Amino acid sequence: MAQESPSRPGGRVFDIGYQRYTGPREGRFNARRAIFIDSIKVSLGLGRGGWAKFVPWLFIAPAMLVGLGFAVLAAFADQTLGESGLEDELNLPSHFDLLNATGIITMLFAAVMGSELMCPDRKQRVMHLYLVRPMTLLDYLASKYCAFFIVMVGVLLIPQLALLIGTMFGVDSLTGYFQDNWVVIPKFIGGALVIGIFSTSFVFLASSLTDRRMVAALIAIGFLLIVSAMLGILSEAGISETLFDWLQLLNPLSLSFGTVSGIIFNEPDSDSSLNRAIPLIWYAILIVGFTVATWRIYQSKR
Amino acid sequence: MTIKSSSPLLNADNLSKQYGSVQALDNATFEVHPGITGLLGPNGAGKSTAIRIFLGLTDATSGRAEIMGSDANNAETRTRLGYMPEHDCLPDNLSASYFLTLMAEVSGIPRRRARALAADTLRHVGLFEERYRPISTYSTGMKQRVKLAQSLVHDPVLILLDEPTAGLDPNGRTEMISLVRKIHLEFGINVVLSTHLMHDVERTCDRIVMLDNGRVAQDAEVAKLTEETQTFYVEVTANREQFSEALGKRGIRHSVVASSVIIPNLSGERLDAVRDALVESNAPLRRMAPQQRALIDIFRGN
Repeated sequence: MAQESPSRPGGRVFDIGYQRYTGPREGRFNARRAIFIDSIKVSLGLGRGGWAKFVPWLFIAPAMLVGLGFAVLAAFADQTLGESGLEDELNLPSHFDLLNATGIITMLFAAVMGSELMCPDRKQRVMHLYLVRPMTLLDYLASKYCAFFIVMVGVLLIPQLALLIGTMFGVDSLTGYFQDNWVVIPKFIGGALVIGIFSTSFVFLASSLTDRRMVAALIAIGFLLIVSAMLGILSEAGISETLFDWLQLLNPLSLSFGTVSGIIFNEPDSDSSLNRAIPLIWYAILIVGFTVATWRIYQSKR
Repeated sequence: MTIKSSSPLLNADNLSKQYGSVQALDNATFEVHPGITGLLGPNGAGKSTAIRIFLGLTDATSGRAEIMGSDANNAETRTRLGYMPEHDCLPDNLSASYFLTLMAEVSGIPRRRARALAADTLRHVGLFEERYRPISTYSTGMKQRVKLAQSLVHDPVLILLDEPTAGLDPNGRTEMISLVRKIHLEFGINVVLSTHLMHDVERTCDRIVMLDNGRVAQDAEVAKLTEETQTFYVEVTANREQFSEALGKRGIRHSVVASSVIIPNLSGERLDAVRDALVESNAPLRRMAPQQRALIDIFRGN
């Protein structure tokens, strides 16, 4: 008996030609949102190739590991040392200590990924294509700034959250813990915001000076290292403490991670002879200065 | 944004731009209407400056630039404008699909629609199959197509193409010119083509605006500029010298260039005299045609 061959799925493709777009056009808001989302992806390597994915996590992973280490210590210290009474003597690391421990890693992340975010647009001249669309230079810079600031705050907060969770595991009563220590949460969020704003403004200025990402990253890292090293040498040379305290204001690391976030955590630098208001005012001046300088440089290179 | 249908697409009203001691544009006044318009001129004529002013990338020193009836500095106006720069402007680590989707979003198109528009536009420029490959792996011709596609992806009313055939081989140039014509004839998008290549303009444009030293030297339809002249080319296969003598006897000024006899200011009775000279010299006629002006002659001021 002859078998009927099964019919194959078929179809024809018609080219319907060019279709005019009649949908909504959302203008500048949509443009800013698109740049914002894309900048978050660039900063975290999402939707990019293997190497672009690897680099940010090269810094984020160690910061998370430090946070996890602190969290494990906080979770098990009570169980292990609780009865011996050594826990109080050990002075377990706080959220402020964790912020300082992850400081250099997060600043390296800011230097490398901030340059990655800002420089290629100018080097490859993609920025022109953004600016000929419904978007101003201010829209462009503000969208990138907000995106990178949020990424920075996230990178700073994840280890803090790990420590908070670890601490929660270690306490007998969660309610009691939060009643006594609720203030620690706004403190570490405040610390992350303070450092996030500072590091974003700092690396944006470094990135505005060149369109080569490696050079921009080296400018930012080099400045941190050189200032830290020079202050170390001056300290060894025996300059007066007052002068040293003033010079410390030039060190972005100690200013943002130590002094300013220390004030938020209410852990003032006991060695400093300066009034608390001075680093805060200087911090504000630097943020404004970095931002205005970045804006002016971008305007001139437009 | 509302587009004023009665307004010209572009309107330059006494537009001037001074860069230090250099006068890039000098009271240039011209309009661009629907169709394909060539913006012509030698290097330094002010073409790129005019385009940069219309795109809002630089401000005019004096005068007024309008896009579809709105000020060129109004960012929202640029939702319906596309721009293909001469220089490289593509991110090498992204796929064409991702890049075009981002560009559509930055132009105000919602994300879901932006993806569909990106795919459609890449199909129209012949890159549909390669749309997920990183742009860095594309050939020069393919990169030019991506540059063109990003200017089209948001379905603009007008696109400004700056030297779109730059760096392409003869085949690539022909394809690009066909694509430019297709964009207007099939897609209904108006085009301003900035170039110094006369042949491209003759093959593509309906109208030209010619700039020279920042001033408008010509503003006319291509057909009128290249219309037939009263100079005739007469080509005979034999007895060329006798034909020349016969013309001389009748007082007809002419010159012999290679195989052709060129006769200026030929009309009316003088045409009959040429016919008689051909008969008298017994010269077999191969071709007799009026000379067409070439844009290059206008460009050179002939």
